[in-house]
Parts: sequence; structure tokens; C-alpha cells
Amino acid sequence: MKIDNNESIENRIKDSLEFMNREIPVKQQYLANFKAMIDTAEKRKKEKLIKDTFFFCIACLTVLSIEAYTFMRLFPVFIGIQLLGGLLLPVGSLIYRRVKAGKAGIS
Amino acid sequence: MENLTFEKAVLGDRNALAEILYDNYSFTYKFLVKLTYNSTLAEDLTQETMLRAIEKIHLYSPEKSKFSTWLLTIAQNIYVDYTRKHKYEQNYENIEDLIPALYSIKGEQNDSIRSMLEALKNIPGDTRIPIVLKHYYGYSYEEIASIMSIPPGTVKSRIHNGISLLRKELEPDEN
Repeated sequence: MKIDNNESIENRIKDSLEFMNREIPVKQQYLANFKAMIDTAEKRKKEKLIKDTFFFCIACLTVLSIEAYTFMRLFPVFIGIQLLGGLLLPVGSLIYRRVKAGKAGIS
Repeated sequence: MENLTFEKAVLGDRNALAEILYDNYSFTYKFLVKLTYNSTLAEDLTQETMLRAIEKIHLYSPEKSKFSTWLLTIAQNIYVDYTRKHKYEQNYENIEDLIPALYSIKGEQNDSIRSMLEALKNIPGDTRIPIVLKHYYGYSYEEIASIMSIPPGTVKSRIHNGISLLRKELEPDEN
């Protein structure tokens, strides 16, 4: 079969994919129970929220521990900046990740 | 009427959401079969897409994009995540097993469809996605860029490279 130009190859792509789309069998059993699927998703969402909150708390505690240690030891001058950064960074990154993931549909 | 269903779904109406997902299940599954060339894997990824759509439905805005486009974006992301995790696995099905109807057509039409689908199967996934979105679903470069979260220039070059690869794959047909 001769391929003359881009248009013909593009038409062949379209025709082949159209055939594929038309003829792919879809198993009916998967169309049955979307309400159960919604329940599963809601359960998963709750679990994820608990997990996220747990890791967020751990991150905050770690940062605060480091800040407290630093405060007691060596750099009292920078403590204000560090505390601010230490609090803002995890909160900011969490919000940024969640907004970005939400937009893209990635969890 | 359709917008009302979407609004209800976004506001948490389970029946409305189930109805929308039901309407879009086959569409999503068929899109994923075109990417994965594996019906079992496509079923798994479709389930995952549906679950993620349910989780993120509150973020969907009908003014920004069609629901089907939003679903394709999620499906595409899930497929890309999957290919990253299973970089060295290639579990493609035989074309005839995937599309049993191919057995019923003979001659030049069969050769043409089979060789094109085989060629598409052999090109890399990140090149196949924009080709399928452009030449089958008819999305513009900008829309594909938005679906794939890459610049429009990258979409153009991937499609161009993909067409060249397909041409090479199909070269024996010319003789």
C-alpha cells in the first residue's frame, strides 16, 4: 500500500482508530454498579485525608523540633525568619500540591 | 438538561454522578484501549479513572471544558503514571484478540487497518497519545497541550515525530 503524503497517513490513522473504536467490545458487567463505585471512592477519599493529615502533622512537628533546637543552640537572630519559613513551607507546599493535583486530576 | 445533571453531580448528587459516569464509561474505556492495546489493563485504568473522577468531581467546571475532555485528561494522567511505574513491561495484546471483528474482514481493508494499528502499537506511548487525540478525537494542539500538561510546541513535534515513525513502520507496505 503506497503512502503518498501526510494526509493519506492521517486518514488511515483516523479510519483504523474509528474501526477500533466501533468494534472494541465493552463488557456490560462494568456498566452495572456505579453507586458502589461512588461508595468506594468516598471511602478512599476519607482514608487519603487521614493519611495526608498524619504526614502533614509529622512534617510540621519535625520542622518545629528543628526550629526549637536551633533556637536553643546557635542562631537566635534568624529564628524569626526560620520559624516563618518552617511554618509557611509545609503549608504552602501542601496547598500548592493539592490545588495542582486537583486541577490535573492527579492525587 | 445535561448541565443541570452536571451541576447536581458537582453538588454531591450520587444518582446524577452515577448517570454521568455510566454515559462516559465506554468512551473512557475505548480511549484507554487505544493507548494500552490491552483490554484488561484498560478496564483497570478505566476503573481508576472513574474513582478519581468521583473524588475530584467538585473541581470540575462545565464552563472550562467538556466532561469527556476532563475525563480524558484524568485517564491520560493515569496511563502516563502507569507507564512510568511499569517502564520495562509491554503487555500488548494481539490485535485480533483485542478486536475480534478483524477476523470478519478480509483482504486489503484488513491489511490496511491491521498494519496501521500495529504501527501505532509500536510507537512510544507519549507519541501515541497526541496522535490519537489529534487524528481520532480531533482536538487542537492547544487542547492536547492542556490535556497532557505540555507546551503546544511539544505536542506539534511529538505528532510530527510520530507520523515519521509511523511512516517508517509502514514502509514495507510500500514495496
